[in-house]
Parts: sequence; structure tokens; C-alpha cells
Amino acid sequence: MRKGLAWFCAAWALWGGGVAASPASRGPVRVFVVNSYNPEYFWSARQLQGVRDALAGVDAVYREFFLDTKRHPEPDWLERKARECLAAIERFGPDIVFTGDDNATKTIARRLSGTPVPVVFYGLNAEPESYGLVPSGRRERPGGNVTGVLERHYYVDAARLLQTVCAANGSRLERLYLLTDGTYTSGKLFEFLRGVDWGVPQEVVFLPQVDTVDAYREAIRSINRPGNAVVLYNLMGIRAPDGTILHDRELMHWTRHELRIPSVAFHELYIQEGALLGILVSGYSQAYHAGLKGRRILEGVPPGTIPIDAADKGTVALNTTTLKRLGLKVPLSVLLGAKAYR
Amino acid sequence: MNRRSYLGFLAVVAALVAVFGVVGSWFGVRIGARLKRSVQVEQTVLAESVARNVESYVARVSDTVRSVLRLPNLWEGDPKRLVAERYRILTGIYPEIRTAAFVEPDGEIYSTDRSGTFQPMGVHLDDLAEADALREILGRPAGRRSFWVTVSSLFRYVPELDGVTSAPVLLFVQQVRFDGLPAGVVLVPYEIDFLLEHFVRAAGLGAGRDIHFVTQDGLAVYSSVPAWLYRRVPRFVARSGTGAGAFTGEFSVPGDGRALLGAVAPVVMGDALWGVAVTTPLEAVFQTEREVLLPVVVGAAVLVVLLCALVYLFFRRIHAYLRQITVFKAAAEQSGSGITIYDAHGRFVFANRAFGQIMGVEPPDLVGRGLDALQVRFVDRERLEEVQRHLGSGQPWQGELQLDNPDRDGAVFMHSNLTPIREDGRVIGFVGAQRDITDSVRQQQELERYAARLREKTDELEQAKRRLEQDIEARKRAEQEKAGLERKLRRSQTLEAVGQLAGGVAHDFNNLLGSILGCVYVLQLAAPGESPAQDDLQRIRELCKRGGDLTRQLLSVARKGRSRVGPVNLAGVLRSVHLLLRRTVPQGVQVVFDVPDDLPEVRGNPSNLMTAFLNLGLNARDAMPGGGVLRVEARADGGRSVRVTVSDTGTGIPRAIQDRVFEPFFTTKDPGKGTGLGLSSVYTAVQEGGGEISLASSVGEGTVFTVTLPAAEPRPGTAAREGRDHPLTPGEVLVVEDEDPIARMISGVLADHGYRVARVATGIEALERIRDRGDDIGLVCLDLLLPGVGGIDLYRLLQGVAPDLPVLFVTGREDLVGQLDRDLPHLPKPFTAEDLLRAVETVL
Repeated sequence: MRKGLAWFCAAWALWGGGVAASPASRGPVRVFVVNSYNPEYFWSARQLQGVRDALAGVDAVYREFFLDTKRHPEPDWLERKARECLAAIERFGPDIVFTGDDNATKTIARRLSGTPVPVVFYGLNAEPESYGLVPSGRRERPGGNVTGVLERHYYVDAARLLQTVCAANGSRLERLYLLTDGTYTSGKLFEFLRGVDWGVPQEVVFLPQVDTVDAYREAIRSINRPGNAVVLYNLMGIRAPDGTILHDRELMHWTRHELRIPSVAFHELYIQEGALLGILVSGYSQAYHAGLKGRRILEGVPPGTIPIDAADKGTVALNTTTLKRLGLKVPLSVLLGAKAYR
Repeated sequence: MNRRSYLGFLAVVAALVAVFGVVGSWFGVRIGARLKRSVQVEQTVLAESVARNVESYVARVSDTVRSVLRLPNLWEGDPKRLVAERYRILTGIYPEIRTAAFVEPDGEIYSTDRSGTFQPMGVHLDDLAEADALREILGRPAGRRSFWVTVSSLFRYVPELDGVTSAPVLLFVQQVRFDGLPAGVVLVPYEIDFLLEHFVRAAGLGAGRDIHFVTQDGLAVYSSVPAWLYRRVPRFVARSGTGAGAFTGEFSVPGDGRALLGAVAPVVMGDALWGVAVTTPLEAVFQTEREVLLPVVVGAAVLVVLLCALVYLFFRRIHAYLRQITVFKAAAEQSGSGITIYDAHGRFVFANRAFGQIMGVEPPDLVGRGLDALQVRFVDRERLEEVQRHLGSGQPWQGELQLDNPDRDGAVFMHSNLTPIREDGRVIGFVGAQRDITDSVRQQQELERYAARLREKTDELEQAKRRLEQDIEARKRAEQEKAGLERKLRRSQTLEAVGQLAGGVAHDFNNLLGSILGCVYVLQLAAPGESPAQDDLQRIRELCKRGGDLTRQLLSVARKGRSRVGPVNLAGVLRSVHLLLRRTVPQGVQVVFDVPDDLPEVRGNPSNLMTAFLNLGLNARDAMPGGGVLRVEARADGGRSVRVTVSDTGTGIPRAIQDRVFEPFFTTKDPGKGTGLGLSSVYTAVQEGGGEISLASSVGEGTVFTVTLPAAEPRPGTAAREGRDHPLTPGEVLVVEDEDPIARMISGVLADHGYRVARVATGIEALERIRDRGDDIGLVCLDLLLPGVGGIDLYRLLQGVAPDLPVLFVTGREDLVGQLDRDLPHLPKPFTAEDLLRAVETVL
């Protein structure tokens, strides 16, 4: 596979390198989008739409590839799908490749790094330097063939927001529990969060990552006591007893009825399904921003001159139904700046 | 400079540094205090200025908002539409207003974006933390205060922090009344980040100066230092919260870590009291002091230290120079050679003791004086002037000088070397090195005298040697010549003896053999062809022929001095030899013949020469039994001689016998196969014409015989003879022979082969017949020994009457042929019929 990819890159350099700067000379632009998850996942669907909207008006042919790592988090699966994806890229001969989220970026973008094919990533939680995509201290001008958009969640800010709400209600919050699934992405996130200065008076407790619905329910029940709050990160990789991946909407539905303590989340779905509040980032917005970078590359701007940054600005979200159910009052300072869900 | 003075110098430097340090510190403290006071005054003025400007702006905005919200009601019965209309007016005036909320009297809360359309938020007044205050405003009766301006915060994305957190807002609250009754409360947040940023920038930052807005509870809601944002500033709370006016002092902010100098001025924001803080890090306050005063003090101290160091180094250098001069003078005085130093004008600066001894003067007397002071010491005044000229022109000089030193006997010689001393290319003096070479000069003179005498003796010996060598050479040549002559003499004596022995019997023997052959010929004609006698007769002929060959060889060895020697057409001889060789050599032997036609005639006997070259050719043939190349070449040597080489590629002749091959009867062939007379007869044929023969041979490579024959004097009529053709004659052949058997044999053979033959026995008969039938006679076969008029005399007579008539001499005395004037064809007796026919064809 590596040998084939090397031949493909060499051929691209000899034949297609100059054409990429002027796609019109060889017909429609060939865009290859690699997604870490499955097409049914709402996050993925919004990301793809973001790329297409940013490239609106460009005569383009799209080819999409889903690594499907939410439903199959096994490392072997990822490696196998990555090989299939690289073969598909070799066959397709794209003018540009987009990679969505960490799994796609750490496999596909990393292996295409250093080749003539421009690569734009988005939704990357990890540091791009850790994947070798950019030298340390070079995000403003990466210099190679890879640029992209980072995904930055406002974890600490959300905790402070919760702190503000609780303080306005006179509630004493003692512990803040962090809970997430057992996927690689979530593991890297927890690794990052353990080094964060939270700046809140509560004790911050990292719960073990959960892989099964039973483990998840057990974790929720164990912390469902006054004085506690929970921060729910990713719930996409949790399996049912039959081994299938449960949809996180179902999990949140169960959680909404079970939970008696404030909860913080970062996905709009989770707020809609009953999490109290959160600061949201938009997959669509990140992909759209990455699409704009890709558009500049297709216009002839070298990818190494386009900075790597985080385009998404957080939005305060509040579920008023949950607020009432918990008997909490919201301060005006939160309510007037928030997007309310019922 | 000794150790004590060095330590003293260090002490002075340390004292100077200490003084500078104390003075600098005192000045630093005083200047620092002044700087702090100056900065704090500036900070206070700035904080007050910003505070007043912000208050003024907030008042203007508040008035505007209140005026808009209190516009007459145009939308009776629909408070939300009324609020929406006023909200749209406000967003047109202030784009910073992005949202608004409306609380209905029943507690339902609505919000709107910039479009002004209110939507229910799903939140009731009871769900708000500020429910009680809003409910109080909502129920407030007419005539009382209905508009409030307060300061709050709004959770939203803050770019400076790259995070979502509370940002400061002015919150305008207006009670809405319809028909005198409360109809709701409108809440309009006005984001004031831009406002605060505007005033901060207008106040001017830089030079380490920062501006912060701090709430009553001590939260920095805006700061030019992002790290300060939303941090607690406890000390500011205590001071600014009292509203007691400006505060100045030193403090630090948690998380910042820097010591700050600051001033705080209170600012009224609606119902709230904030503080405007202007801070400068103490580090920045004293930066000027550090940047200006400290460098000046340190620079001055360093300058003083450097100055001291320079002085120290200067004196140390001077000291080193003086010590070097002392050492130099001591060394110079110890030197056995004279050492002098001159200034640029050639005056003595220094002269050592050795120089004084050479010159016979006291050195101190010379200092400051020129060479003129030593004028009387120089024998050669012109030499002295030459030295002075070099000194004047700055050029180096070296040479020998002869002196007259009254302290010493005889002449004194001195070698002097004067070298200019240059500084930046300019001559500043000279240094001289003088050496007393009197002893060496005298030794040199003695050596030269010895050398002259040695050269004379050597020349004499050379001449004696050359004379001796010449004598030896002459003696060697004389001995070689003597040996050669003796060898020649012995060879001549041998040949002479053999010749005398052989010559006596050869003629009679040949006549006998000739008669026998004539009889044999007649018998062969008479006997039947198949008769057994024919074989015997043929055997008799062969035996006679072998006997004839033997007698000819004997005669050839013996004929020296008796053969007729004259001009010989060598080219013709060699062509005849070539013709014979081609018929006799085997097929494996290649004959190369390279003889030009225009060779000059040589001296010799033609017959002997032909026999000689034929012998050489046959010897060459015999030397190549396996085949090879036989080469006959001839070249004229400028008309003086002709050199003929006969070479082969055969077995060669061993060096040991090369000197003997020309001796008579010397042969290497098996007994009975060689007489040993072949090369001896060759030698004789060459010698009799005054020629020479030599050989060069290597075993296995071949042999080269080189014959050099002297050229003959030119003779008249030769050309005419040489150009004559030899067709078979239509005339008769006149046989002049007194021996009847031979005459018959000749006549018979020729007649048998178609010739017309006439036969006479005497010279007189021959002359008569030639006279009568001259034109009909094509050839004369003439025997040399005739009764009466001899063959030679007859031939001479014929030359007078018929010089063109061909003549073939037939004789048993070949030695007589040499008495003829020229090379004439002859047939030696005995001969066979074939010999006769071949000879006749050759002549014709």
C-alpha cells in the first residue's frame, strides 16, 4: 500500500502537480473527503455540508470515505479502513483531500504529509504537532502540504458557567465529574484535560472511560447525588449488551430521566436531549472554515502559507426544561447571552 | 614593575569602583523616588481623565436609551410590538445592542435578536435569579422611577480570551406602562467592551502603562492586559469600593507576579461604582533609571578602570623596553663582533667594545659623531665615501674595508654589514655588524698563492698525459699496420707459390683435356646413338670437364699479377652472374638483384670478377639449404668506387674462421666436396683490381660479403659498344683454331645448330677471309695461341679493319686474356658443345 501510494504521489508530482494550481485546465476539481465516522452520524453530515457550502460555485466532483470508527473503535479496523481509503485516494487522483476529526487526520493526513497532494483537516482535537503535521511553533505558516482547522471546546469555560449558575442559586457544588466513552479520541481528550487548570473551587474527578451501556449507567448512578455535577463529553462509542454501538440520543434520553444533578455538555444534541447547559462548537462551522481554506488552495495559494487555527466560536446553550426540572434559577447574565433549548 | 606596585594599582582601582558604586546608589535611590512620584501623578491624572470620560459617555448613552424607550406609545394593546419598535430604533443608533428581553406581567420572558421579533424563551420570571428585583420593577406604580441603568455581565465569547465568559454590559431596564398600568419590563444589555477599549486606547498605552476597569466586587472586567481579565484584584476592591477617591500605591496582582505602581479613580456606571486603574510595573518605572543612570555610572567606572589599566600597561611597556635595552647592551658588549647603531643621519648612537678594538678607538667617544670621526682609520677613502653614500640614501651596504689601526701591526681588514632600520617605511637609523677578518684575509691570500702554483703543475701534468696517449695510439696503429702488411705478405707469398706451381701445368693440361673432348665429340658423332660406347664417351666428357674446372681454379689462384686488369662493365658482369644464379638456385631461394645500369666501370679482370661474384652467389646458395633470400646489390660511391654486397640469410660463418676463409685450400666442406679455392680466387679477383673484400656474418642469421672496387678511368668508345645489339647473325662464323680436333669440334657443333661456319688455322688466313668476305662474317671464334700471327695480334688487326665484328676468344690460357685491352668474351678450354653455343649466343 505504501509503495502504491508512493507511486501515486510520484505520478501526481510529474503529471498533476502543475494542474492543481489551475483546476479548470482539467475539468472539475476532484475533492476527496475522509470522515472519521459514519454517514448517519449527525456530526459527520453537518461537516460534509460545511465543506460543500464553502466550495459552492466551484465545479467539483466529490468522493467521500467514512472510516466508521464510532461504531468500530478497534485499532485494527481503523488501520484496515485507512488502507482502503488510501487506495481509494490513489484511484481517485484528487486535487485536494479533506480529513474530518482526529481518526481521519492522524491516519490519512499524516500519511499524505510531505506528498504533493494538498490536505486540509478539520475537527482536530489533538495538537497537530503530535501527529507530525506541522513543526513546533509553525502553525502560522506550516510550510508543508497540510493545513487545517482545530476543534477547541470550551471545557473550562463551561465549568465556570455552571459555577455561575449554581452560585446564583446558592447551590453548593462540591465535585465535578468528567465522563466519556472509551474511544481513542476521548482518551486523548482526557489526557489533555488532566493538565488543564480548571480554576473552579470544585474537585474535578475523571471517571474511568466507559465502553458499555451498563458501565455508563453504573457511572451515572454512582454520582447522582446532591453536590455533584457531571460533564458529559462523548457518548458515541458505548456498546449495547449485544455489542452494537448505541446511538447517543438514546443514551441521553435515559440520562435525562435518570439524572438529578446539573450536567454540562458540548454537543448540541446532548443539550437538546436534556443536558443542562454547555458551550457548543459547530462541526459545520469548522468544516466550512476548512472548506474556505481549501478554496484558497484550489485558487493557487500554497497550503503551507495558510495558518492552522480554530475557527469556531463557542455559543452558550441552556436547556430551560432541565433548568426547571432541577429547580434552578438562571441569572440574567447567562440567560441574555444564551441559546435556549426546551 | 614589581608585585607591590601591581597590588597598589589594584587597590586604587577597587577604591575607585567602590566610590562610584556608593555615589551611584545614592543617586539611584533619589532618582527612583522622584520617578515613582512622577509616574503616580501621571497615573492619577490619567485614571481620573478616563473615569470622567467614561461617565460622560455612559450618561449620554443612558439618556438616549431612556428617551427612546419613553417614546409615546403607538402600539396600544401590544406591548411586545411597542418594545420591538423601540428596540429596532436603538439597534439603529447603537449597533453594540445585539439582544433584548421582555418580561410580561405574568412572568413570561421573551427575547429577540437584532431583527426585533420577540420569541418566548421558555423561561418564567420565577426561573430567574433576579426575579424579585424584576418583579418589584414590574409592579412599581406610576410616578415613581421607571428607568434604571446598572452594570452587569453577559456570558458570551470573548476574543481576547478565546473563550466564553462574562463580558461587561450596561443593562438598561425600563418599566413599560399601558393605560397607566404596568405592561412589562424591557431589558436591553449594552456591551461596553468596545467603549472601554476606546477610552483605554484614547488614553494612550505604552512605556509599560496599562489600564483596567474593575468592578465593585474587585473583578477586572476590562484590561489592556488579557491575563488580568476576570481576575480578582483584592486591594483595588478595598480602595475603590469605598468611593473615597483616587488611590495610589504599590501592589501586585495574583497570577501576575509583578510589582506594580498604580493609581485608581472611581467611575460611576449607572447604579454601580467601578474603578479605573492605571498601572505600571515597577520594573518599567525604573527602566529609565536603569537604562540611563546605571549605564552612565557603570560606564564611568569602567572608563576609569580602563584608563588606569592603560596607564599601567603603558608604564609596564616602558619598563619592558628599558629592560630590553639593558639586556641588549650587555649582550652587545659581550659579542666578539663589532655592533654599531646609527641614527638616520649616520651618526653613532651606540658602538660596542669589539668595534672599538677593531677601529682602535674608545666607543663612547663615537656617540653623536659620524663616520668622519674615523676617517683616518680607513685606508681606502673612496670606500668610506661609498659607505657614507649608502647611509645617506637609506640603502643597505656590506663589504670589506681595509683599516689602519695604530694599535696593531700591518693592515687590518674588517667586514661590515649596514642594514637600515625602518618604521612605517621611513629609515630611522642603521644597525651595523662588523667583523675582524684580518686573519681570514691573510689566510685567503696564502691559499690563493698555493692554488696558482697547483694550477701550473696540473697543466704540466695534463700536457704530459696527452703526449703519452698520442704516442701509445701511434704505436698501436703502427703495430696494426705492420701486422696487416705481414698478413698480406704471407698471403701473397702463398698465392704466388701456388700460382707458380699451378700455372706451369694448367695450360698443357687444358690442351690435353681439350683434345680429348674433341676426340670424344667425333666419336660420339660416329658411334650409333644406342651404342654402349655413348655412355663411356659421355663419362669421358664429364671427367674432362671436371679436370678443366680444377685447372681453372688453380690458374685463378695463381694468376695474380698476370691477369689483365682494365675497365670492367661491372653492371654487365653482375647481370650475367644474375642470369646464371637464377638458373642454379633451388626454388626455395629468392634472388633479389638490385644493380643500377649506370654503374661506373671498375678496375679488374672481367672474367675473374664474374667468376668471383658467381662463387659468392653459389656459396650463398649453399648456405641456405632450407631456402632464404640471396641479395645482390651494387651502389656507386660518388664515382670513386663501387660497392657490391652479396648477402644471404643462411647459416652464417663462425667468427673463429672468418679470418681464414680467404686462404687457399681452406674449406669447411666434407673431403672431396670442396677444393678450398673458391673464396681464395674471389679474393684474388678483387685484389688484382685494387679492390677490397670484407665479410660480416652471424651464425644463424646469414652472411654479407662487401666488395669495394675502385672506379676505372673512362675510355673512349665504350658507349658505342654498350649500345650494340646482339641478334643471331646471318653471316658466317669464322673459326680460327690451329688445333684441328678443337676446330672440327667447334665447326661441327655450330654447323649442327644452323650456323654457317668457315674454318681457318692461322691468323693470316683469317685476315684474308675477313678482307674478302667482311660483310658476310658475323662472328670470329679466335684461339689466342696461334702459330704466326697470334690471336691477340690478330684481334688488334681486326680492330683496325672491322672494329664492330664480334669476336669470341677460345683459349686454354685464360691468363692471356688479361693481356687484351678491354673486357672481351672468351670461352676457356676445355668446353662442351653447350658451353660453346651459350658463349656464341651471348656474344651475338
